[in-house]
Amino acid sequence: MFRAILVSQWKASRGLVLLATLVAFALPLASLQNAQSATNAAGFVMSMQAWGGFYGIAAAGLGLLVAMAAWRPDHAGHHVYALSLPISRARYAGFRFAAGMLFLAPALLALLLGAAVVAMTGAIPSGLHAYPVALALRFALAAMVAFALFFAIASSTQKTAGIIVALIAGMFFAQYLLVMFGSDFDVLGPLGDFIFIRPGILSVFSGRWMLVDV
Amino acid sequence: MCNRSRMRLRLLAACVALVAQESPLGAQEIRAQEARVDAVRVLIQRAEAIERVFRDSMERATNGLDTVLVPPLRLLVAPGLRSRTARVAAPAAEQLSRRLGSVASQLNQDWIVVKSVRRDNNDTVTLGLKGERNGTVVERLWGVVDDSTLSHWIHDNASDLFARRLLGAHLLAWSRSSAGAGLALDTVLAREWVALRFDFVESPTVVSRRCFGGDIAACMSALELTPTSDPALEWYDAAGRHEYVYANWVARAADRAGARRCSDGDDASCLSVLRNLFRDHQPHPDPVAARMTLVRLAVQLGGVGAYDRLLATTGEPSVRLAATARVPIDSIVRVWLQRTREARVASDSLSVQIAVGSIAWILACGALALRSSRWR
Repeated sequence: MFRAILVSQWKASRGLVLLATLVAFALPLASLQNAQSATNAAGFVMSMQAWGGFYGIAAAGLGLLVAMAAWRPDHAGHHVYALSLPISRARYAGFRFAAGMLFLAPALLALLLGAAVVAMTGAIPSGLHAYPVALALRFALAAMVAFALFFAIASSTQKTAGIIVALIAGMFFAQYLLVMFGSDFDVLGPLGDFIFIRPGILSVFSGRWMLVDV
Repeated sequence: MCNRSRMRLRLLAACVALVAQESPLGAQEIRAQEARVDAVRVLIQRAEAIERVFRDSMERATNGLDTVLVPPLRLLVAPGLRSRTARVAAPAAEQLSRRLGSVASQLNQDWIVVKSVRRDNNDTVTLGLKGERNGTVVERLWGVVDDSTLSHWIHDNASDLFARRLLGAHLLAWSRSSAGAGLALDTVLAREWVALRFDFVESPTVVSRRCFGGDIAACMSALELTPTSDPALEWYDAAGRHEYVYANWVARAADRAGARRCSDGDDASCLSVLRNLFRDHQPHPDPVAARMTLVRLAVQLGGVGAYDRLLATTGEPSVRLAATARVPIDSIVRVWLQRTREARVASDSLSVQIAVGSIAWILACGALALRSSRWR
């Protein structure tokens, strides 16, 4: 059963997985190419740091797209295929979850490979160090968090998704009203901290992503 | 006051007379003049010390400040802050005594001044230093100061005073420090080693780059622990000499023809221009922070009594540092180089917290997805 789901899900995901794999391999090399124009070691590190945000964006994009692709056949077929299978909903969702996680692997390995190539080129200034494994592990965790989050949202009913969207919009609207009435009460700040500051769900995306550091 | 003024005028006249001599002097005469200048300098220092004591007395009398002795610290304190300051200064004094050993007694040559900002409120205080930089208020805190903050404040400023006194008296010329600035009494932090590494990697001198490459003799030369007869030749390679002449307008102005030939690629001309320049303007090959970290490392290696030995030993900086650390100077430099090259600041990319938090969220979202309804 898992193999059948794996094959059907691969057909929906393979294009973006291949694209993500190429991007993941190219990112470290592109950051090195850009950093080589730096005139000193500090400039090299700053340049590498400036590229750090792209790793987070790539991981979030990878997780989002693979999660959406996992449920796309079900949404397109109005869940008839899922309902026709002689397995529980939880088991079915578990197979889809596991298949999606597997499809993240090529991009993660490509990033590790690209980062390792950067570390071995000898183009890193003396006194600096490369952290290919740490960066690849963080990229993997970020992609998996994004995948799990969007997979959970996509697996829910439209009503649940609507409630989540309404809650987020309500927060922004409440903050707007508070500002309009001259209140200093901050709604979005604590929410942002809750999400992006450890141990928030997206905290893995915040902070510095450094392939090369001191 | 009048006597003191007359004495200062006489000293000034003596200095002017020394400077005004225009005839070329023989070596013996130069030494004799140097001895006279040194004698004058001692007299000036004594006069300044008398003046300092006088001003201290005046300030105590004028502002109604009390003296609080918390050995080895000596504090001038507003009467309302007397008991509080004595209480919070005790742990600072104890910590300084433990760290500095017997030389901590030198701390009482300076004053730490603690005053209230307002006469009717002792919660808001200022803290100043009176000593070598007479009367300079170095920190000022507006607002309520808790005891812990005030204690740290006293400790840090007393440490700063000691560092200035230590370097001012013993290693100032070699250290290239402005009156001891940068000589923290703490162990050198990893980020300081890393910053130093950056400086060495980017150094324009070949001797510093060789040092970073592992050449201890080059390090000794870069740190000016061994004498250098020809800095233009020993510290710079051909590219470095060319770059130095190109970037230094003083060098270009001093020898325009030579500088022009140098810019055309004639290294002999570069060498000649720099040799002439370095007679009066000799550069230092190593980064500014390097010597401070070496002194701090020597003190750390030396352990108990390190400051005593540093102050008690005479001679070249290399001899003093070796005595401080109780190991040969090349061993200190070897450890120093090792730390400069290998100090690591933990990478921000991944930590246990990030990993554990992420895995928890992945499991939580996965569990939520498994509980989703089949019926939509």
